[in-house]
Amino acid sequence: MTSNWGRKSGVSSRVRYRRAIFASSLLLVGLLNGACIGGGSLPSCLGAGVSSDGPDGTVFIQQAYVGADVPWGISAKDPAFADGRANWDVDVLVGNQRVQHKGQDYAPHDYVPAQFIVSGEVFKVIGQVTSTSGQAVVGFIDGECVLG
Amino acid sequence: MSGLTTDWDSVSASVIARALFDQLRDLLPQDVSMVLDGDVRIVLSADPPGRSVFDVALIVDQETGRREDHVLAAVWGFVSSLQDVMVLHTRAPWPDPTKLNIDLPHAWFENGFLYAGFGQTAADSTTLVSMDLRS
Repeated sequence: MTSNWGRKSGVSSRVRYRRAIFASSLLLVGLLNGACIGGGSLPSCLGAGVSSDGPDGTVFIQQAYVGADVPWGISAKDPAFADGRANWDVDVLVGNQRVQHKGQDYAPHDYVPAQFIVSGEVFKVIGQVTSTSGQAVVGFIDGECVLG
Repeated sequence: MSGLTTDWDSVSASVIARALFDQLRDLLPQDVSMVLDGDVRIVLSADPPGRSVFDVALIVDQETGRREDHVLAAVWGFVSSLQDVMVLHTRAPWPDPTKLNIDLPHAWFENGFLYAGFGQTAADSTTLVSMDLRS
């Protein structure tokens, strides 16, 4: 599993601490799963799917069976990214093809129908969220898995 | 003269966006706004859930892959996004609130036409959008 939630602006000691904790937890999860950190080994989207948990939110991706459609979604943990208070800019890729794009002010979710699914390709949800109230805060999302 | 073939390079994002806007806006209630912003962006607004901007060109105009696949993905993506906004807004199935099971969005090509609609399958879908893409 790969996942990356972080912030671009206002990198406070709190954010750095959260990044360090997140990086450590990713390493631990990777080791437990036998994943190759930085080596490109990705989990399967099949079965329980992927839950890429970061400091500010979580990307969910799941495929029930080989060739099936793929529901995905994002939930934000940080109140700065609450619905109506942030702009989401998210791409959904199958391989190197963009099959969906979400530009909206509430946390996005959808599913990619089976007609656009290519078994063996990487399914990726990637983008960023920017708060629109108070201090500008940017978070990044990145969840991916291999399609069955 | 129209044939049964489609010159995909001539199918522009603006043509797709205009067709989606023209054929779907009248289906929406007054408290849901659909605006064509420029040539390729369709903006949906409702409270709840909020504002959603669908950029047709971001899907259609990709350097790699088959353009017909991108056109299909763009149309499917928009009707799916529209359904999402309507369901979140009305908290009821859409487009047919009398059904217990929500119909699914579908987009498909047939004899040079692109269609989109909602149903359990493409074959039983109620067609809401049709575009003549014959060259």
